[in-house]
Order: sequence, then C-alpha cells, then structure tokens
Amino acid sequence: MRLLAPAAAALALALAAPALASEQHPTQGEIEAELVCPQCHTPLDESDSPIAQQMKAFIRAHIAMGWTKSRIENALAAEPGLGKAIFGVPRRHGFDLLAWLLPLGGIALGAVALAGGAWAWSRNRPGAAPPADGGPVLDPALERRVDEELARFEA
Amino acid sequence: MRRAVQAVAAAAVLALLGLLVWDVVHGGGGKVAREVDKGEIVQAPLFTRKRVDTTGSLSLVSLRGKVVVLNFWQSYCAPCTREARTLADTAERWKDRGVVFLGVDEQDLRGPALKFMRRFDIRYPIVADDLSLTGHYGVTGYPETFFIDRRGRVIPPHIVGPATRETLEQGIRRALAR
Repeated sequence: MRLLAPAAAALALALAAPALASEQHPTQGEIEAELVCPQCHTPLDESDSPIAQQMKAFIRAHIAMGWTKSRIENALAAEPGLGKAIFGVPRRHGFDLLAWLLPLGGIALGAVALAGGAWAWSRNRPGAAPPADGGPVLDPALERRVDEELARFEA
Repeated sequence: MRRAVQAVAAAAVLALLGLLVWDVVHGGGGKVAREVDKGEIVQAPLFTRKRVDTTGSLSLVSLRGKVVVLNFWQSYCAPCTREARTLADTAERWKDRGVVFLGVDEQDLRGPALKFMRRFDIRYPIVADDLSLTGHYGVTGYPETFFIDRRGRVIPPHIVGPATRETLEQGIRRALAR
C-alpha cells in the first residue's frame, strides 16, 4: 500500500511529461494531425490545397517563433477567414466540452436504463418471485402428486 | 391514446418533410447571382465582417447611399491576381464620385491577404469571410464581382471571373444610373 502512491505519482508524471512537452514544444506533424483543411475537410497533414499550404506555413513559422501548440491553434482559429472549422476534434473547454460529455452521459444513462430494465424483467418473470414463506412454488396438482408419492414411499 | 400518439408522430414527419421541400424550393443559396444573371434587381444580403486591412468590422449597411463594387477574392486564386491591379486603379478613379469598392477575402489567412493587397496596391476596404457569404450571394468561384446601387440593391451585370476596366466601368455606370 505504501508503494502504491509513489507508483501512481510516477505513472501520472510519465504520462504528463510527453503531453507537456508536446504543448510547449510542438512539432509540425502534431499540430497538423489535430487540424483539418477547411476547404477539403480532410486532415491537414493529408491535404495539399492552397489554404492548407498557407496553414502549414503559418504553423511552421510560429513553431520557429517558439509558440506553444494551443497558442498556434488558437491563433489559426482566430483568423476570421477560418474559424473553429479547422479543428478536427471538439475542444475540451467551453461549449465544445458538451460534445465530449453528452455521449458519455448518454452511455451512462443507457447503462442505467439497461440495468434497471434487466432488474425489472427478472423481478416480474412469471414464477420467478419466491412465495411469501420462502418455499418453492408448485402447481397444486403437482404438489398433491408429490405428497402422494412421498406417502407411498414412506408406507 | 395510442392513435393520438401515432397521429402526432405522422404530423411531425409531414411538417418536417414540408419544411425540407420549402427550403429546397425557396432556399436563398445562390439566389442573388441567379436573379441578377436573369437581369433582375435584388436586395443585397446584409453582412458585417471583420476587416483585413485594419482592425474592427465593416457593415454593408454603413455604405448605403453609395454605389458598392463587391468583389469576392482569395490571395491564392490565380485569376484574382489578373484583375487585382485593375480593381485597385478603378477604385482610386471612382472613390470621390460616390463609389466604394469592398473586397471580401474568402477563407484566407490575414498575412497572405495583406501581402496580396500590398503587392497590388489595394487601398479599399477588405473584409474576411469563412465562405458563409458565398452561399448568400451565389458565388461559385473566384473572383466574382457584384454591383450594389445606392439603395442597397444588387443590379446587373454580375462579373464571373476576372473583371476588366470596361466591365467595371459599365457596372458602376449602371449602378449610378439607378
């Protein structure tokens, strides 16, 4: 148990370090992979349209200037001729966060509905509910026959 | 109860279908260019867009009372380079006679757009757009030029492709005569 906390911290650091490095010192490929060409709607790294070339030149120039990844992406999105259409995935803040949360909420709601439905179905199944005294439920005719058989067996 | 729900669902589907048909028949996309090319005069769709050449925004409505030469272009459009000098010269020639040139730079970055403007000595206002105006005006390629009269109406002709001094002068004179 004593080793668990340091191990978790080390794991968190190991995961956070590359993300931080990518944010502080992004590569051309990393940024291009996250954006789309607003003209052809394909990933920027696969597009060769004129506007894609302009965007790639912008990214190259601003990486050289030492800008962070989010600063470069936000500057591109702030261009009035482009806008948020350049993002391949919704942002993880502001209104766009809903695009991430709503599907998760939907899945959670569906799971709860499924579990509730399964529970209700198992409760209402004919003959599934145990009798009040806790014994098994038998058909009266069958019960009578069992009694007769037992009586014959004991005789 | 079940019948009522079915009726409501059927009515909703029919209403959506009607809306779709209405939108297809009356859709504004391309209407301006289409009507003007048929010789009709139509009200210019109003807009406000951010300036490329300076800070702030510009609204088309603020130019009411002047003839507006509305030119759609892109810095990476080869035919746009062929008309750019002519547009710049014609704009200078008419600027004191109640004629304003207004460029709409479509899906472009500010840096290359400014470079284009410096290269061709463009001094008239330029606004940036993310293609939303092309649908309203029915622009199908670049460059395209519309003429708007003093009352804010788009009047024929509508120039598709690079404008020449003659086509620009003709359009301006027609707009001024309205």
